[in-house]
Amino acid sequence: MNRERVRELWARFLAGEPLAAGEEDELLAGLQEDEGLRTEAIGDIQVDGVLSALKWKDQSAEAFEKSFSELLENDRTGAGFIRKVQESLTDQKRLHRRTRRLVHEGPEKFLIPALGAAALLIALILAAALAPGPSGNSRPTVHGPKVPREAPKTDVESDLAVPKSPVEKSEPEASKSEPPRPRPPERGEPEKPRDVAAPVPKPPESAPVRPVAPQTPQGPSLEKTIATAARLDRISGEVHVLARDSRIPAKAGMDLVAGQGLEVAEGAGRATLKFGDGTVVDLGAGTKLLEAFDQEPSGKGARGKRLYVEKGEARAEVAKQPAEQPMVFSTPHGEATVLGTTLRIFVDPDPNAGLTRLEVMEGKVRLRRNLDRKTVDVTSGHLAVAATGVDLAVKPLYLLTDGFETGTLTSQWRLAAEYKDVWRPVKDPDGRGWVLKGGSWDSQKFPDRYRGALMSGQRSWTDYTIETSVRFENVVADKPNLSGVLLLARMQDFDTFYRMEFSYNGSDPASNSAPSAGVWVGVNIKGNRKGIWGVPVPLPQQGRWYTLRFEISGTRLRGYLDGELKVTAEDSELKSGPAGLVRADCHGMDRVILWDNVRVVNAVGW
Amino acid sequence: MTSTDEEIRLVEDAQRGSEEAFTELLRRHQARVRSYLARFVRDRAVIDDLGQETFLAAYRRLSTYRGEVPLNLWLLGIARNAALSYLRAEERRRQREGRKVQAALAGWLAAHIESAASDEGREVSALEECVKALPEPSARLIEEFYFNGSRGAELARRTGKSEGTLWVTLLRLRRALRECVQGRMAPKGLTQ
Repeated sequence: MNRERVRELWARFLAGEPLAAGEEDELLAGLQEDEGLRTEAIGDIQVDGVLSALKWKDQSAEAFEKSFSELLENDRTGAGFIRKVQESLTDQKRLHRRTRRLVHEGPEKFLIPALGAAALLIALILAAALAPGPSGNSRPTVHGPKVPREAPKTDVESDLAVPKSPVEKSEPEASKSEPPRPRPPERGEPEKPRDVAAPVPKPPESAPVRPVAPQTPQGPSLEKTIATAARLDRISGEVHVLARDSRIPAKAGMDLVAGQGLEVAEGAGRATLKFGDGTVVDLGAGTKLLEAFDQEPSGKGARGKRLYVEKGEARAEVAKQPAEQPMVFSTPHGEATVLGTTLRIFVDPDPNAGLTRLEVMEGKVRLRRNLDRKTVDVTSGHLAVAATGVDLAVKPLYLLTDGFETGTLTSQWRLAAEYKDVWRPVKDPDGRGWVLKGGSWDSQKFPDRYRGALMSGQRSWTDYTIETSVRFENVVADKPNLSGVLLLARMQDFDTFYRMEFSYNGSDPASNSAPSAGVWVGVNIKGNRKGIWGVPVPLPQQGRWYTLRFEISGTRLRGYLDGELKVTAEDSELKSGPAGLVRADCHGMDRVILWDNVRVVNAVGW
Repeated sequence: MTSTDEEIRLVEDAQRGSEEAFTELLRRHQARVRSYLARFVRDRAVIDDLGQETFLAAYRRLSTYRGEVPLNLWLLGIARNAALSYLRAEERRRQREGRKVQAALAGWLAAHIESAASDEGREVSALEECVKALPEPSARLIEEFYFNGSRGAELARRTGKSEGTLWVTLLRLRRALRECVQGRMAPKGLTQ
């Protein structure tokens, strides 16, 4: 190992410069193998820290002092109350201890703003209200003097054991005046609730903090509490709960204990988390949630809901959150703070080109980029991307959105004159407003079928997602025929485009083939199909709404049916262009397909 | 009245319940406590949180302080345990996240804290003196980067260096400072 090379990597790492994965490994190996270098690094990081602190230590003294005064005030006024409930919070605090901060982080930072001290009191009140059992279980309370003399040692104090001398080790000193009680685990010692990742009994819907029976016979004063983060409302495919060091297969109805994570398999995996207040988070295939908290107590009080999304996609409908306890989605690239909204967050963990993309459908979300702590407020109908080299700017979420509720085809759509009549809004058969009817399509009359596409957008559109709902009004499975829909992207004209298709073939006695259906993505160049990739899916049901999504990101094409990724392909031929809709229909049958809620989502940063 | 006498009086007042006296003690010692924490934790918000926890624990346990050690060292002892707990938790977390370098660093720093006797008060003073003693160009570079908050890229441009060279230069300067501190901390009068 070249020592100078390790030093150089170290210097860059400490400066916060991103290291490639290989370089990180090289640095780690160098430091592990060479004790001298390691000692240097440990010394260096300390000098670096002290030098940094010299800069701000006096500047922020006043704020520190003020902050402490508030903390003290809360501690003083709530002292009696706090003592009563501190026991029951012990394990919860250990579970939740604010740890999403990165020590000596390199390029990525997980920074959480300091919370107001008042939050502690709120958490304690909540815990007290929910903690059953006689008050005799509490340790002695202290009233009166502002500075408690011989106050019973709290668990906070156990963590911050006061040494008799500055070199004393961290073992808490025993309080001789206290009744014997089991020693709570040190922070970091294995905690049973987290290791036991099996589902815990369900709490009341509205009670995120649920006391459970003491697990040890000694010391009636120690009562454990397990905080439930959320319930796994629905799952499909392979989903695992991530406990401390284990992965446990997840089941619907299971509770996710605070601090546990969730891993949703690629492909068909999906999971829905439901919180006590009605907040719902859908996790897409390939998503890894490292941690979930309904209330995350910090050193000074409870924070709100927190999900740490390492990769993948989370869509959330967030119920109104208390102003001082917003819900936070943390990712490797930033942090989205939410007070109540509908959003989607997508995390690409790629160490070089990774990003976090936040889309806000309703409400307002603050996104902070870890790189430089810059923030932007992303409002309804907008998106922002946190990543290296991408402008942290708010951009419109939708390039196009149409629910056809005006009852007419609006001017945002373009179509060839001869197809004017085949596209028209009609009343929703379920009586909910308007939908778009694809009309009858006579392939004999219009052999150039793609010319019938409904087109919208600009030549400059590059990466985007087309979403729509479709419904087959009359499925004919027992005759030779083909029927379906296509979403077109990066259209150059009616002959050249990317396509996603959802269609079925009826049975054909001549070839002895059974009815079949599929989802495909592909490329058409000058009227010829250059490539197509697909997977079979069940035959569409007549009268049922399906959702389709076609994502075009760089050279990657992805097709989703009902939120499930069905097919992926790569192609680099087409760079940009508008979006389109078209029906696939053969054999001249008069069949009806309905479309609704067509949206083109601005996918900048994918 | 000497400053030590004054501090003893403040401690006694604080032990009798004077928040003003405790606040004055905090005012005097917060910088040192935070400097100590900054050796092991880079996130300023975390440093402040741990600092607050340190003073809250000190406030609650002040009645047990008998003056066997100077107050600043007593406080640093509390801060030390707070940092240690934090680093151990960070080590596990980073391991779980697969951030191997950060996890290893947290572990090494925790081990360093466990093995090292704290002489923080003297170390920080010595470092401040060593920064002042740096030759002019080096002192200016440290000042620009650490105190004036100049960004790496900007500083590299102004000094006509590549960013990589800048990081290595800063690394060497920190090494020089470390050696300077060690020299000042060495027992005096034994080697000569």
